[in-house]
Amino acid sequence: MITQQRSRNLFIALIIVLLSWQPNCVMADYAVIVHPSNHTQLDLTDIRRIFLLKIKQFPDGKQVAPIDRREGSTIRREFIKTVIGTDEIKLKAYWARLLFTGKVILPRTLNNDAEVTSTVAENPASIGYVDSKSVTDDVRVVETF
Amino acid sequence: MECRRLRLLTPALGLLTSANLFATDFHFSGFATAAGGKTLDSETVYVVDPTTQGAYNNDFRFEPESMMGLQVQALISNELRATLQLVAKGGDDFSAKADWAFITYDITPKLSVNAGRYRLPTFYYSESLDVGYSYYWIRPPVEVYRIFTATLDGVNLYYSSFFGSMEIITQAWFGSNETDFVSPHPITGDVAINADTTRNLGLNTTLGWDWLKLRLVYNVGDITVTATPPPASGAPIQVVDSNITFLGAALMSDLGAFKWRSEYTQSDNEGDDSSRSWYASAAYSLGALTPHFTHAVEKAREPPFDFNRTTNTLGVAWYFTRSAVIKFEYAKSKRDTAIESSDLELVSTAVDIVF
Repeated sequence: MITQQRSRNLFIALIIVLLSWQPNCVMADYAVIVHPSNHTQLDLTDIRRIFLLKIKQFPDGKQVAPIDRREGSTIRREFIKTVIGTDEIKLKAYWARLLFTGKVILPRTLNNDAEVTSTVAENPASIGYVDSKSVTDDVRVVETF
Repeated sequence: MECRRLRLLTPALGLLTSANLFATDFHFSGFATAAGGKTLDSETVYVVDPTTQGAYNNDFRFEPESMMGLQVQALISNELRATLQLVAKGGDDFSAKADWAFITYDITPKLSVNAGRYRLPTFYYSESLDVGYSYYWIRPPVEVYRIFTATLDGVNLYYSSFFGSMEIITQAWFGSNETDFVSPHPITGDVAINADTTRNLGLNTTLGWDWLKLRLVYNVGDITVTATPPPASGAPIQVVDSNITFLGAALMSDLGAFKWRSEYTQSDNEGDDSSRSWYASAAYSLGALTPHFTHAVEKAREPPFDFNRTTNTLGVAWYFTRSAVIKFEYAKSKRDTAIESSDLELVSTAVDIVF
């Protein structure tokens, strides 16, 4: 009887542990990165405004050059969903409105993590996002998602 | 919309000084709409584009709203750039015209001055009216979007900033514009119209929060309209020569999958003419499909041509790939004058792409 009770408790405990266990990589798969000399504090709202092309400078007043990723890529879809809070189509319609009224220049698109990391490492104005595994000492992580 | 970049370096100068100063980045982009439609009754004509007088009739037509636009932006320096947008519209026999041709100088990161030709930012979608991809209709309601002066030649200021969580965008403009178009007339035949807008001055402000946008606009200008009927019918007639004032307000909301779009506008000129127009529209995104419904009303007091028009539009926009949307709409419109009342039904479809 007691043994049965204990094994049931154990079983329930195991289920709870399994349900609450989330692999680390789910919590922070990707990283938003800037140049190491860029010490400005960025929160999610700042990053969102930068990629919505609503602001042209970092909170400390320095010029900002966001880097976009290839349309349809997993990392871009995840970034737009989690950080910007919209989807690729809505973002595209919104950017189209700004672009074809001459308000903005669209961010340049880079194809892979290595290109983003090296561009961010070279240009103090740039801000991009890469897989957390691709982060090097040449860049500074400001946010993970 | 994936801009192609072309980097032109002046090699000799590049050796002498910093490469950036003498390098120009060119960004190319474009948009296109292939549209078609017809009215469901042989007597009726429905004008869908006030600038070209593009209109649907009882035959299935592709010209009225099909168009293509190409844009090039030249980045001269961090603060200075030039934008040229050529648009070829079916309603205009696909002859390309520059809707945008201007130079931008960023005075500060929040304030820029533009000089040249630009689209008049009268209503919420006026500036991006040619870019069907930027809204869910085939065309924003013509009851409100009915001004034939679409562009202005002059200067404007653009200010964009945040105050806490509130975004504020303000535009102020001054300029003039002369435009010619042909208006079909059932009795006299085609009438050539010349509209000359001078001393046009305006201001708009958009306040934006996370899910809500409120926009106000004021525009005033002197307008002279001259109509030239076919040679047999007589000499040019000056139909309008007055000072016109536009006032408008827009309330837009995006709450999750739900979208609300509404605008009100009134125009008054020194004479007796005035008009009041508004629309209210709701849409709901179901994955790639966005069904929508719009109710639009126009009350024109232009003695002796007073009329009221009410249009209900039911439609769906299907974003079948990231770069293209296909749209279907059915509109039922009722027009009343002092002496008669007429109904009209329009079916139309469009594919909008951006590249």
